[in-house]
Amino acid sequence: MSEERVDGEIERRLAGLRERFPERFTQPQWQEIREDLEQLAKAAATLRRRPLGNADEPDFIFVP
Amino acid sequence: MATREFAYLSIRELGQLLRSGETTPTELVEYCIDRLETVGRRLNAVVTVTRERALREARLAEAELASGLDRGPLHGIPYGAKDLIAAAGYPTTWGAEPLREQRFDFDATVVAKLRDAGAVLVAKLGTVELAGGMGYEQPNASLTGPGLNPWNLEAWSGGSSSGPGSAVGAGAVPFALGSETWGSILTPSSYCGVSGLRPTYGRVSRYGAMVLSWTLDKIGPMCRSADDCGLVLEAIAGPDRNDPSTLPTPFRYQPEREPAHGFRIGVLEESLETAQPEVRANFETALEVLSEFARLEPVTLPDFPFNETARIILSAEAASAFEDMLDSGIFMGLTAPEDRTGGYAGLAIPAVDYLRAMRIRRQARSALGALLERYDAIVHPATAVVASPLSMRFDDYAGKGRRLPLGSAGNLAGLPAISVPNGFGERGLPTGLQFVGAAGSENRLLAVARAYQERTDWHLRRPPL
Repeated sequence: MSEERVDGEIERRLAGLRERFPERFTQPQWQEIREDLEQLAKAAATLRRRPLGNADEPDFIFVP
Repeated sequence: MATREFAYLSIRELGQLLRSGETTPTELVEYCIDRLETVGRRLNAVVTVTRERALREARLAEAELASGLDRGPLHGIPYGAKDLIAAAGYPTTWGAEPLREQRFDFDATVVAKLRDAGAVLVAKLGTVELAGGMGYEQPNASLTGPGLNPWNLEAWSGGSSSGPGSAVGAGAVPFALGSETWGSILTPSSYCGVSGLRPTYGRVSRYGAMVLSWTLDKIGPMCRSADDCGLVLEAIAGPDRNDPSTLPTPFRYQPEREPAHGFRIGVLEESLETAQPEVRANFETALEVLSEFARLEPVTLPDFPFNETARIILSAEAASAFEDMLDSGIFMGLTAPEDRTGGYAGLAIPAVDYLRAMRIRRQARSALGALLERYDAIVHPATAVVASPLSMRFDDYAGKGRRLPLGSAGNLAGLPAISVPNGFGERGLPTGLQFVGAAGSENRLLAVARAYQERTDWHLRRPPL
């Protein structure tokens, strides 16, 4: 994901949280949340650089 | 009666005094309560002293031992539990001011198991609020205030098992139960100069304990020695129908079946450049000791984004576990300002990001398992730095490299680890040595740690309280 797309993704997630918690936070607090979103987006971008095959399963097993 | 000195005795030593009639469970409990109410309170290590329950359990243990009923090495031994572990009727605050009055009407499985083993619960001990799951960045993040270090009252105790670290380090209880999601047993153990064991994921039931992350949370003992950790682990381990993650087989602590030398230990040297000079020096000295009874070989970790993978999994699971509370706004009353906002970003993690992290986790676990097949343990400093000053933010003191890769790797893969004291660093604060083993290898890991502690006395040192 390009830097512009990451920024856009962060803004979309931030907008979703603002819609969910419209009265909850001050502007400085929203800035803290934005920084948390940036860190998670960077971590996710790092993970996307690691190749995975179609059959690579997640590390939990569904037991019916 | 608190005139005798029980503060720094091991579980085995206390057990001998109990069985020889030189003391009683009630005397031990009164001694610990006195020390918790004085030294423990001064260190912000105590949430609730469970006096009535403790005296009741002590009298029962006394009567049982007098009648010849011996429940084993923990019978009549006082202990404390991190205050995210439920004890029927007493507050279980999770370290959070908004939950100060929260109570459960049942004992967590670990508390029930220790009760059955004859151990005596004397206190609920301090924890960083919500086990640090909201991303605290400095020591003042609990309803009991910052955990203070028994070795230096101007330094932090470490977290999130801050109360167990301080209380055991100060000799206020012989052992305590802590919990670890990512570093919360090993870090305070290292900072406070105690021996702390993070069991294999699933070894110990979490039923009745606060959930931060279903796939990362572990409960484990914090003690005066590796041997004590083994004794406590046997009592608390085992399958539990209330916790589907638990392994199907019980755990037996069997030191007599383990070798005392001839171990093969992998030495992880990466990231040492981020450690403080004293931490590096103590690590090098410890390697010389290890070489007396083990073959040492350099190892490198397989190449995985351990920290990022753990970050995504922990944030997503914590946001889900706490979603109702995040929605309610109750966390706006938390102590640390950063914890009032820290959980919300996790609510926006896409499912595919979480699943990708879990897919990488499977590969990482497999690669680490293959590496550990060749070794009895991998050794590394438990922490890159000693405990930070109370006045400083963690990153300002330790830098961004404070999370050593073995911590996230070991927790992601559910591997057991133990931190044992190996010297002192700046400001008179302890440093810790970390051994990590293959899943299920606690007996071997404890044997390595015991062999180290038989040749050193760092775990016997007492803080200047």
